[in-house]
Amino acid sequence: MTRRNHESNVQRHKPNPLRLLAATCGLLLAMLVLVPLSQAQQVVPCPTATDLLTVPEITSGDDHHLRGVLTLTDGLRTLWDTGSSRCASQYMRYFAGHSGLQPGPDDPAFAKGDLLPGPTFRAKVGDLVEIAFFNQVNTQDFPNSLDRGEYGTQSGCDITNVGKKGGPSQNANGDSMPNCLHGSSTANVHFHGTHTTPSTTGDNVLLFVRPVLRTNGKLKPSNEEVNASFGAFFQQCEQSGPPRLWTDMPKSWQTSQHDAITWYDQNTPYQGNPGPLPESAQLWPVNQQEIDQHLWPQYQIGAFPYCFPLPAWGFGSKLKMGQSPGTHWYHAHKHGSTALNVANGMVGAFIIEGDYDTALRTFYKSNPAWNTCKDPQSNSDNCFQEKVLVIQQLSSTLNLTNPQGQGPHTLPIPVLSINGRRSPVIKMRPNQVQIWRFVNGANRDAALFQNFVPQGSQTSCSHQSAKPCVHWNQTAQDGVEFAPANYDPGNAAGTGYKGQAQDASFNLAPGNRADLLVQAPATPGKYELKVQAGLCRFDCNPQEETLVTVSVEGATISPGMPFVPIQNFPNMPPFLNDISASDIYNHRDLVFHDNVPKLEINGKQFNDHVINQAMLLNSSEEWKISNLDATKEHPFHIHINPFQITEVFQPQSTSAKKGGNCYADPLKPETWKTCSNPTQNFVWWDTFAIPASRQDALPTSVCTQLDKCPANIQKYTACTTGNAPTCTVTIPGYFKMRTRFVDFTGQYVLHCHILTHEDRGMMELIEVVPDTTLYSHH
Amino acid sequence: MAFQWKITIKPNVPPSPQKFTPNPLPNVLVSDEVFWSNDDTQAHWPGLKKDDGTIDTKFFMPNQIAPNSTSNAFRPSGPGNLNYVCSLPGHEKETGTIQVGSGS
Repeated sequence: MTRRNHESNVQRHKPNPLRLLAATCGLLLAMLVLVPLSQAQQVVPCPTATDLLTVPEITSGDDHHLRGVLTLTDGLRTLWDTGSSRCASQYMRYFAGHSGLQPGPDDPAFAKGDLLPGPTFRAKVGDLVEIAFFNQVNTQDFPNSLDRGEYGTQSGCDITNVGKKGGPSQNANGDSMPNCLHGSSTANVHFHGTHTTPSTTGDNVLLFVRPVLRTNGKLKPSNEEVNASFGAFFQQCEQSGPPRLWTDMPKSWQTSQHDAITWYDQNTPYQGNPGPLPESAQLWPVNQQEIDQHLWPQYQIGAFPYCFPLPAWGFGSKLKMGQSPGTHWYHAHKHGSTALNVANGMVGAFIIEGDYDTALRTFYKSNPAWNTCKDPQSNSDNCFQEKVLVIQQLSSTLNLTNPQGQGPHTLPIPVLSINGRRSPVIKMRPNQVQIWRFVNGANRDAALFQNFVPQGSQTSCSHQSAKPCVHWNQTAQDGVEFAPANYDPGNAAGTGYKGQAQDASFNLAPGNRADLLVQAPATPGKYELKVQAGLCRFDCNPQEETLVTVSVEGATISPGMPFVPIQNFPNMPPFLNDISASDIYNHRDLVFHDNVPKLEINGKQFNDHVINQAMLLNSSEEWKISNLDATKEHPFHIHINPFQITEVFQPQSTSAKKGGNCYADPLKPETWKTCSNPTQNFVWWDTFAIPASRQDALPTSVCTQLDKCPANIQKYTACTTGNAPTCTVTIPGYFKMRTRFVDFTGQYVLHCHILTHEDRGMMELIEVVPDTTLYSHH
Repeated sequence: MAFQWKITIKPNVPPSPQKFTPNPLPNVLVSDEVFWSNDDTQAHWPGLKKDDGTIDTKFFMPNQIAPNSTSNAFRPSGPGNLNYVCSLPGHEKETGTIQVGSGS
């Protein structure tokens, strides 16, 4: 984005509570930031600048505390339209923030025209995370973004009237509460990839943090209330850890939230009329009921203090698992608005460092020639530079009226961007190796990494040793380092999902992360990284995009930086050793299906009062997770504990479609499985795109009516009627995973990470329950 | 992808054309969304002003917009000017236009 656009798009910058305090102290700088600049929405020139933007960081200190303010705010930002080549200023809700828990302005980078991801959190394994979260969204900037009639007589779902001059109005979305898009100015924060408590002030996605109330120009709860209460709370959390009960919170915060929520219940407009809300839609009675049952009250207003450990596994620890060091992330996760919130920009990277990072950095410091890259931003000479790359799919609206992509306006899908810009340029010196930490924070599309192509060429240079090219070698998946055998840079053939060797294509589904060592050639030039964006591989017509462009320029590094040799690659900590088959306590089957118009797991939509799966603490389980849909690879995600994949079956793969040993015969369900599995060094994931199903039409000689089809395939078969009836067999895709439910009890969720699917019901509530009791029998 | 456009209902201004801002609302395409943000101290209910002079009250939204709240979104399905008027009694002079271009 050009400087001109930077300046013209500083529309308004709403204060957070702590910033207001600074302003009252007469700080001129803060006062300048506070001044709201009014400018109407308009069509604007499209941004042209492409340098990669670095997102401001909030880092933990030597005292092992990550302290930061995370502000959810809104303002006008320039967006591009994939369908019409327009760009326009749009109201967007996004994260800003700053280090420390003290009053002060958010980093000024967030006030510029680019829609950056939220601040990058950088902590170390063993740290305590303390995040003061403020929801400062001005709901006047968004259509019906407070829940309407959530428990009332109307559906409460977002609606979009569709009509033309003289034509009828209509509401084309048939969803119902709670599995519909709703309440998009309410948010919370999911710390995706953390192994910590899912309860109280931890990775608690059952929270609904509503926007701060604005009454006669004043905020409720006030800044003074928040600051005083949070100061006392964080001090308490540092001493004794996260609270167990709401009554453990400072009394002042309990009172402040009671007052704010009660005011909300009495004054919020309902169906076009001023408050109070009908009793069935009021929030405090729900909170009170939960408090009475020693549950955490789910409704909060204006702010929430997150405080939880990133537990370190090791000598003397009682933990069965620890927090894995790696590339994690955070994003809004309020059911019904995760898709729109993430599309607006409520995402950020969360880097948790540990021995993995130390080992890689140590290797690349070993040669003086690799310490000649002056970086003013990091004040370091080391050429092993890191790029944190957050993929987004920014949009101010979702295609609510045509949830199936059908109807009069099948809208173009938003393109992928990185750190707020489309196809940004990353500069590298010849022979340099950098580490790129990718986060796929898109709300919809996977990015299937293909290859590098020299700019202006139609032919890839990857996999060709004779041509200069940028190469990559993956080192970690979903924030968990590879076993050295899976990293092996000498394995040019690749090992599929087990691990990625040099330049191997891989799929980064929404929610996935991947760390890549990226190596520039000795020859200067520009190289484009090509990905295919879409809902699935194979026959899904994905869009090819240039994700980033590498500009190789400057002085050559000599000797060149190699990929770290396998003998220098960090070993995995013991808690990441394979889960063996003998450890498995229980097996489960989950089936994902877009059963139009309902998005289901095991034939059911999410029900907000039902726990779908209950697991014993300290047990290991093996799950088979299947997909009945042929055009969508639902990315399965489970919170709190990562999992190891032991088997993947892709019925649309070439080997499964062609004849031979791996052929999946539609008439023989016993052949619907993979024919090659890893036996050890299983890769850890926390999100995995379930392979799409394959739908084979049966020859009419086999059957044209369901009851005439072979009995062993009838439950997978559907037949049409009419003049030319045909029967089609669905061969489900699947994967199997093993996981340990250890260290933390509590309720949390699993879901599809195509986030409109999650919002519309493809989610389950699960609970890990204690495996011991205080009761005795003697 | 589509864009979303806000029309602000302003307090303490004459009924037309300033009551709705911007007015007219330009640059809307058929795939876009429009909504009204009521900053006034009283309710309003924009309805479609049809060629025969009648008002289709629920064309844009199912109910009035309470003070200090917003409407649901509206997505036009064809190009042309959409003339609207507040359909509440006494608000007949509060009018506006949405200019919808072709394209998606």
